[in-house]
Amino acid sequence: MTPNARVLIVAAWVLAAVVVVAREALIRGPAAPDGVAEALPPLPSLERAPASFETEDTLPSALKGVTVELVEGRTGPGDRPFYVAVRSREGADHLSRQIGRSTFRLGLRTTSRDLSQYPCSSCHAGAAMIRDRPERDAEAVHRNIRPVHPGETRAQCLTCHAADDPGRLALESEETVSLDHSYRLCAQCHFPQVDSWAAGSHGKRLVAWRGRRVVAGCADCHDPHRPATVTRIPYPGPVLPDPLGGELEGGEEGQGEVQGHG
Amino acid sequence: MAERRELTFEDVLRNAGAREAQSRLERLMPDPASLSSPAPEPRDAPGGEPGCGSGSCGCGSSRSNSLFDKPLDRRGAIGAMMGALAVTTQAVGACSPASLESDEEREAKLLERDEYFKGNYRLMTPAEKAETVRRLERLAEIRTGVDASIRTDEALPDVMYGYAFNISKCKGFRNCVEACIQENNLDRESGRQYIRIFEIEDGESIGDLEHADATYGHAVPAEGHYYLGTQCFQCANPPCVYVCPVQATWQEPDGIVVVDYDWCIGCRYCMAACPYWARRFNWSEPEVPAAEVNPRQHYLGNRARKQGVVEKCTYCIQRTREGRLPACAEACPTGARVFGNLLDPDSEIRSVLEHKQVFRLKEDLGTEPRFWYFMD
Repeated sequence: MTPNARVLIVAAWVLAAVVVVAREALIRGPAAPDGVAEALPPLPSLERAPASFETEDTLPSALKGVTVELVEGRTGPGDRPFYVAVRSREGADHLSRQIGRSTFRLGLRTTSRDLSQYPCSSCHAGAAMIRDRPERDAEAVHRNIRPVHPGETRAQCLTCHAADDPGRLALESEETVSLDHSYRLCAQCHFPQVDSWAAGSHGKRLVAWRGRRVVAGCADCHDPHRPATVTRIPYPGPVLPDPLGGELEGGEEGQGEVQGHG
Repeated sequence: MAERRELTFEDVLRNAGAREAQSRLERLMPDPASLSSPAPEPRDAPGGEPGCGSGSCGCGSSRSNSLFDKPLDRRGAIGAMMGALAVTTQAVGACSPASLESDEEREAKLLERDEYFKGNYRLMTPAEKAETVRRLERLAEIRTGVDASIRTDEALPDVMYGYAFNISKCKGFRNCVEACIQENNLDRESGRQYIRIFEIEDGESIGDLEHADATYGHAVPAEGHYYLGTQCFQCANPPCVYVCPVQATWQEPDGIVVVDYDWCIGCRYCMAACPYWARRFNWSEPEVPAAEVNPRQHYLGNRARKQGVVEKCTYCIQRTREGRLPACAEACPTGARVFGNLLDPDSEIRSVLEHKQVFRLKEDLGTEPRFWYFMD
């Protein structure tokens, strides 16, 4: 390295201070002369859409392809109408969502099949099939169903299912609704829960916190034939160092968190 | 192929992209003649430099050659000195033979130099924000091959975020924890987690979280227990913000407390000040496999962090400012998490606050968390 270069490098440090100060002055704006600001070339635009969120009239784009229906007779917070996701078309499952690069299953049910797809009609074709069937047949065929709803026996299918068509639900008013509208059936007994559901403190809003409010239905989370929560092994928890046992391991995030709950 | 040789001054100039520095300086100082510092005497450009004439090296591109085709005048000398400065301040990694460096490597060094000299995020003009975003995106592409999109969305008007957590509903599955890791590009190496789920025996006080179990691994929900989750509460009176000596952390108009990762000096005062153990320190460079990186990023949110800086939950600022739910609220399988706009009287969070029994953690401290717990 020549002496000349050394002088240059030393001078560079001095200049750096000048540059930084000048740049700060420029950032602050008013202190900079107008002529200087104008001399800066225009920067390329980011060519990116502005932040977009769904308006009241649009559906969150993540729910495109999912059928939503207005919940009749009940309104959400502020007397606003809301919608329940009732059925998914091909490839648009409202109960699984991608977060980051992973897909998460929403809702507690272990099965992902849509209620509307349950093939009751393959056996119960025609009218009054349930009524005509002896009880022991039902026990044999629906071995996997352990109803806890009124009666505790399998003979109580008709408490919820329509006698003429088990693919539909029978309300107390003798109206029948599709399996997708289970909230209307559930509300007959579980009205406090359904009220909370309408108000937003029970249940699950999907995708967006603003815009059109779309929520999951009762049977998205609660399996009507097996309502108890299924236990399972959770995702892994944190690795925390033991504040009392031995040395703290280097590189652990936890050193500062010992006070937390170590 | 190339043996190590002593770094010449010309190498230094090339590495540092002296021309960019020169043009930048010209813009900043329209009249360099008024500078009183003595300029080095003009000198002729050297001819063919050993190890540089080959086409493979890439540094002989026209943009740097033009500098040497003419004598260095005063202005050129300033640029040259800037270049020298950049190299001396940067890693001495630049001392590897210039011919070994790829174009990308050189570009990355230039970008890193400019990143080093940028200002505090809150002082940046929109143009400067766009510039730093462009640099960061390009750096991510060069360094990790991730095609990240970093946004700088401002807070939405008339929005103040609030969160409610139903301790009757949470079953401790930790779906929220996993979703948070995936969404926010948390360090996989150290097992970084923003959210803690505590398992507490029925009847035990929530005031005793120090002795509650956050590391349970058995099947849940466990009989006779309830679950309570903590994360950053985005306090309305945030002690972490007050103690920061360099104003690297602040509260946004929508209530989210954010960190400028490039301004944080890693003193960890904020961690000491936070009564909720919400902040995390990067003891090492966070590592996320390129295939798992979430490319939808925000400058104040889930973009790549560095070693030696503090990070925290931001209510998924990159999601919420687009109108989406935070990842934890979206992934929760039990519906225990309610998120919304506190300023909207028709929001679900307001409904919870008005109709449910709610409490907050350590309310007596006056931190005013925007995170409530409630029961069915």
